[in-house]
Amino acid sequence: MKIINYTIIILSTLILAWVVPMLYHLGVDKASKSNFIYYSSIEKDFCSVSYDKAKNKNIRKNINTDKEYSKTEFDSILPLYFHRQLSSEGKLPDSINGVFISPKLLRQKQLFFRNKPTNKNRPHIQLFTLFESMSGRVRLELPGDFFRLDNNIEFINPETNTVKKEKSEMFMNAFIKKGFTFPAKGVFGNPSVLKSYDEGYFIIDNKDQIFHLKMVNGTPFFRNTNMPIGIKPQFISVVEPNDKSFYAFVFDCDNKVYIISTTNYNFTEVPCPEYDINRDNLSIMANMLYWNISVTSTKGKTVFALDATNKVVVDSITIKSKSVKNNLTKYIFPFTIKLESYNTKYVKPSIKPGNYYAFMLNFFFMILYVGVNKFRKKEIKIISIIWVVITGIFGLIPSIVFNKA
Amino acid sequence: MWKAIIYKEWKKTKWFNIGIWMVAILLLTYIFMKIGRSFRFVGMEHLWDVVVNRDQFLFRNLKYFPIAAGIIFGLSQFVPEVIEKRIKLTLHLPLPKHRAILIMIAYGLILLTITFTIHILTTIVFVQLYFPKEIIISMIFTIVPWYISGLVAYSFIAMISLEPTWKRRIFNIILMVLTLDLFYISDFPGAYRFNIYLVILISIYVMPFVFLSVNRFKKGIQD
Amino acid sequence: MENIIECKNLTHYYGDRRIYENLNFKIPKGRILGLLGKNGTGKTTTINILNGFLKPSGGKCLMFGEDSGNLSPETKQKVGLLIEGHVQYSFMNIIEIEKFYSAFYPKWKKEAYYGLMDLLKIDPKQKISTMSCGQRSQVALGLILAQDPELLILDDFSMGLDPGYRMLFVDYLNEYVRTENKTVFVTSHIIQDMERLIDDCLILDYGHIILQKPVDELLNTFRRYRFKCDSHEPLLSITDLLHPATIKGETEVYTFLEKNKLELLLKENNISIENLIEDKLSLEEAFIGLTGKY
Repeated sequence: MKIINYTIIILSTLILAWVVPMLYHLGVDKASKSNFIYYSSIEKDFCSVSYDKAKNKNIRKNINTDKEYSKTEFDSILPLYFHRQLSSEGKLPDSINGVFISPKLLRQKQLFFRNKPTNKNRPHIQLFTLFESMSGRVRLELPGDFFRLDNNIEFINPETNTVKKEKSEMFMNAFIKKGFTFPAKGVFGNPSVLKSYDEGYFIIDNKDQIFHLKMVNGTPFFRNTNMPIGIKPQFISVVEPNDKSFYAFVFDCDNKVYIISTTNYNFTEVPCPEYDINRDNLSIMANMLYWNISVTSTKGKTVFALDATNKVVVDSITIKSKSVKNNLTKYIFPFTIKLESYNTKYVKPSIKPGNYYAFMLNFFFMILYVGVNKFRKKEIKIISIIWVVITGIFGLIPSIVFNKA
Repeated sequence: MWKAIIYKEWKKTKWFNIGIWMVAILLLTYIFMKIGRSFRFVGMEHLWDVVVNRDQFLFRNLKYFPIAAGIIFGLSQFVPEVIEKRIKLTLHLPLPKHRAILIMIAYGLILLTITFTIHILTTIVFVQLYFPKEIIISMIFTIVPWYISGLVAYSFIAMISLEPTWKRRIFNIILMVLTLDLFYISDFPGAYRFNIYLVILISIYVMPFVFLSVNRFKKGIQD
Repeated sequence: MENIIECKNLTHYYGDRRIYENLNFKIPKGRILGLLGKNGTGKTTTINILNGFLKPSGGKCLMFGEDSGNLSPETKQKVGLLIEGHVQYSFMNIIEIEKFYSAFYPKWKKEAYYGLMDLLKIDPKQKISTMSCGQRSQVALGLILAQDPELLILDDFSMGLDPGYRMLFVDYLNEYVRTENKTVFVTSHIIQDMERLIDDCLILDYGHIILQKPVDELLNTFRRYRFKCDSHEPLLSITDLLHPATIKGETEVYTFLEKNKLELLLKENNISIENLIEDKLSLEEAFIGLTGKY
């Protein structure tokens, strides 16, 4: 019976190590200020918009010089972002830095891309919609089947829940012909009818090669991208940008990011500051002249401005996050348990140790345990003392509450 | 002798059990009628599309059925034992120590497991007519934590009911609520996929808790 | 003689509150022992320890030589329990409950149970929960009779019963235990019922046992005397005289002394009395004499 009581104390301790920090965060956490940071093609510097609570208005300024701008001034130093506003006012220049611009060109070269860790770390039902890429229709339509990719490729008709034999065989042949090694490690696409065109799927095979799969006029279009040696892909995000200049972003195991260009599947590295796909948020705002790459992690935010043509870093800025300093949990709790996180859609237990201050605090809780039990004239067990020393407040509470077996 | 105890347990829980089965049937009927309606309105392909590409879950109505079943079943079995301390009669039956309680708990857990298994299997039998194995597997990983939580709730209800003191009973209730929370952290389809073993482990871990309550009752603990 | 129950140095505390310390008593085979005591003297505590639903702070209680808190199934078969309030599985009817218990006792006497049930004139399909308190007591008794245990532990069997059922209960029990040479441990708050049933009485006061002896012996030797005297104050200091009190000019005392010895004792203490009357006592009166009214 003592053992059962100990198992109850252990369970309670672990649950408190999960619940108490969660409640702490619920009560204390504030949203870390996320302000937009733009690279100005005119000023050649980073500018930001942030909400000022005290003044109750948006502050637009140059981050390095602290120079403030009015709304219209801000539009005019960032013509590549606010070209629609400028052109409606007739203020859009004909060229920037000697490059000819037009609203149509700007729209075409404009791209917004965001990637969260949960895009990769999530359960996904391994069935895929392969659209007809050359339907001749303006809108994409559901193709009437889904494919699965285990040790072969199979198309399934949802209306009958049966395999489409002919189509499956036809695609399977294409896979075999191009030297695809089953089973696939990952299938990445963008199965939405809301996009303007479809580039199908990029598939990582069992030998870490990337293949491109499309359906053209009902027949397979299947190519090996012949990815350069040395890249070990772990995730692909198919983008289908307006200018059709590239297909997708490839995230490799060394935290490098590449784009697969539409010409000959060329791989170009996109410099990303210390980007970890499993933890950080990536956002890319691209325009004709610059790619604004921003990586947000718990430490803060780093923004790179790249030259749009050769993807070379032009300028960068790092803003440290303030919320990190306010996190007292590691000083109070000897460890904390997390079961969910912003980084994954999976429920995944993880233990985070506190620092040595928290362990010093444990001795205080141990004395408290002894004191309370002396006062209540209850038995003081060595094993409980050890437990409180290890687990601190989390072990203290159940050791007092579930004192008597 | 164990048959007699099971007879006694059946006498207590019969109507609640039948009620649980009725709800189970109605719930499945409702879910399949709802799916059938979507199917007629938008077609199967669209239904597959929202499940596969939009992370929709078609069986969310099952979420609280197992936990409610576990709690109601547990209460129907153990509250009559606690009223007027009838558990004294059970403990005095000429059986080895803990045997009577063991049979009672086994009855509850096995019956609930059978009910839940049949419920899940029936769902699968219907679902596999219209959905492929990938969707079925995802569905199983999503609903299994809910069903396991029903067993955990049952084990806790037994523990809480037989606990002799109100103070400890309240702490046990708090522990139950927090433990059950573990099964409802996320209802994103398939979220528990890689930790389903933990979910099962917890359900086994809490099963012996009831014996502590019985032991405390036998010791006559009052505070 | 074989002792069926043997309690050695039984001590119990609830927290810091002492109920009793070093209580010792035995119940030999074939005796019917009544436990008498006012509220709070530890009757329920003792019953709970005997039934194995309370672990004493100290000492132990043996039944058939086994610790009462941890009886083997074989011993449990030999012990019949009547729980305070005739508690039974009231969600069953009388047929179902008989069927249930019969599985546990190889010597089960179905006839004994149904013999008693026939007197009740109730529908055998009626649930016990819908029966009257008296009917329920008969069901509980019938089950014990069918179990045919060697030791019966009856906790406040008269609780909630009207006189008819109380008499029925006592008569049935009496006949059964005497013909079958059973051992009985019984408590009741109605001492009249006990008097017709028990051989021995064990009287508890706060913290200790006042006496354990056969009821006959108690009633033959324990007396109340009434007399007229100036004041009962001097009597208070004499240890052999219990609970002296004066009501409407008449003084009464309880004692084990015979009449002539009492007169001698009073004379030695220079107390003059008149109109000495000796009363024979009922068990209830004897109990009050021993424990006091308050």
